[in-house]
Amino acid sequence: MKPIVIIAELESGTPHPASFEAVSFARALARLEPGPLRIIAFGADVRNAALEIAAKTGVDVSALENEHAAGYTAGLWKEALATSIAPLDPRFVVVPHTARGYDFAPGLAVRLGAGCVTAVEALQMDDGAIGLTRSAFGGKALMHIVPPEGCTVLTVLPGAFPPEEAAPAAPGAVTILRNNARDARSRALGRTASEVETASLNEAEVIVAAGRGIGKKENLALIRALAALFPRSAVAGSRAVCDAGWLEYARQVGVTGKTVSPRLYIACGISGTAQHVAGMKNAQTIIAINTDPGAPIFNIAHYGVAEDLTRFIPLFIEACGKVYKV
Amino acid sequence: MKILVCVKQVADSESVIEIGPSGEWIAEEGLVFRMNRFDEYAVEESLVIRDAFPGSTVTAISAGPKRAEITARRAIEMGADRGVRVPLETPGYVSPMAVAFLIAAHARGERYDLILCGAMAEDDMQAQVGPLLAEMLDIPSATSAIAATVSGDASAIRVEREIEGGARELIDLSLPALVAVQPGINRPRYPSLSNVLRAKIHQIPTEEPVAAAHAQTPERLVRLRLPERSGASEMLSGSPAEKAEKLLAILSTKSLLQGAS
Ligand SMILES: Cc1cc2nc3c(=O)[nH]c(=O)nc-3n(C[C@H](O)[C@H](O)[C@H](O)COP(=O)(O)OP(=O)(O)OC[C@H]3O[C@@H](n4cnc5c(N)ncnc54)[C@H](O)[C@@H]3O)c2cc1C
Repeated sequence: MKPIVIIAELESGTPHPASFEAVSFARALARLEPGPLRIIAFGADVRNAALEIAAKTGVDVSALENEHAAGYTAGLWKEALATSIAPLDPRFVVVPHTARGYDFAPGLAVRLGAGCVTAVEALQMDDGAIGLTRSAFGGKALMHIVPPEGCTVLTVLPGAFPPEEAAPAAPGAVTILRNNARDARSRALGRTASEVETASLNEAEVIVAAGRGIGKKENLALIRALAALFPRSAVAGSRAVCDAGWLEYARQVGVTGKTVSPRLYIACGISGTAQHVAGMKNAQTIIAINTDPGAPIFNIAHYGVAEDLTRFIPLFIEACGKVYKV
Repeated sequence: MKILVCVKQVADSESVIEIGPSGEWIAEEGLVFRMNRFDEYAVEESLVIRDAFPGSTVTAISAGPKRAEITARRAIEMGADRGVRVPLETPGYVSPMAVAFLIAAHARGERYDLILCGAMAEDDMQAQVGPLLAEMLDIPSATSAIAATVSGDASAIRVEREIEGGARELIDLSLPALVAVQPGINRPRYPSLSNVLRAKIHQIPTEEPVAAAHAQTPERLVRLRLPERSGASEMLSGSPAEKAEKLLAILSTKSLLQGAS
């Protein structure tokens, strides 16, 4: 039985929540193809994080300490992880699909002579083999992929495998190891925080969000008019709308933008890719307006309207006017 | 500087996606193919850098069937100096490992100073080819680049990586290096008439096919399916006006609308 190795992600010395989700995923894998679990945590100051992870999961943790790892570079991570993983000869290496994880995981696979499958969101048996489910075509289709026989590096989509609630019977053992990896070709220069001005989105009870489907910037007027029907409302957008310069980035919802949970979220002309959905799936009620009845946004919406928004929104505003005299 | 930009041809995501008879890929008949949108930003970035360093060239490479030439040519229309196609005739799912291997075989002989890729492909959404290619070529890399600046002496590139929640991390990579760019790093230009005319007569050479020599057999796509609707979702039916009335009724019951009781 070959081991399943989980790479924990640390954020300024504390475990990133995606690390615990990666452990849940690894347990689900081990139920299909048994193997012992082992967690590797790498960083400049890993001791406390390793103890916390071992206590919360009950899994043994190897903590790799390296004073050069205060800042992240793919080169350093690949070097440190490949040398410590290779001797373990694992069946799977599980990495959170975070901005860091998807940055180093493919290269790590090359170093290990392993296969690589990214953004895995479900697991099942496919014809007697482990099948990994992941989104394709902007979320309009799902792939079932059977990993190769040898070692495979997998990245796990955050949010897909909730962390376990129950505390383990006993904490895992922690081994602290010195690591001397260096990366002479890249240099981490530090981090900048995200821009401010989140208040309006965080406080809004109703968010009306525009996607590329609004077609042109002028159609934001429709989105604003729709939002104006609701008290305590705000206008937001998908990445595509912010990239086009139609809305400022402070109004972007999704993994690289804001995470919101209003009472009502109206997605207008948004396809519903995983990166966008991650930022709004906790809204209490989700309404989607999209011309394409196959758009993945309809898979998570509570109410779907398969119409052209330039036609539907004016009709809706008119209907409201009849009732409420807006 | 010698710059390589990787461009993939994908089916237009606004097309209706149906599963093909094999159950292993989409039905491709009647679909429109175009450049992966994420790669347009990589092409733009390559042109901006080229223009800042006189004497530089941009080569656009596309791995795919014959029709992928159109995508390499599209990069020339945007301003790239030349296009190359790596033949990859296998229909359906192709492992990113195999694609990266083919591009690496081309890049090794050419000694590029900088390789640019898009964040991911719209079709398989693996976000792997860039980082795989960097490792195969043994050069440093960074993904999620929302800003990139080449140093004046062209020895390094400073990359701002966009990470979770809109924060950024800054990394210097010594050249040669690979950078995968994030949408928003620039505004991709529209082709100019002169470049469109130049692209028309430009030959897109096809690389010699290389035998894939992998350490192991790649992963296999065994099934492609449409996602199920969550039980909770309700599609409103009727004419547009009837749908508007229904939506109004739903929002009123949930007392979400102004003046609603
Ligand atoms: C690392 C990474 C991070 C990312 N982070 C984010 C993020 O934080 N947030 C985010 O949103 N995205 C993010 N993305 C991008 C994401 O993958 C999608 O590209 C983006 O969300 C698509 O935006 P969209 O839905 O507006 O556009 P599209 O996907 O182009 O969808 C447009 C939709 O509009 C519909 N439509 C067209 N015309 C009409 C009409 N007249 N009426 C009604 N509907 C119409 C179409 O059917 C289509 O479904 C990220 C991507 C990467 C690689």
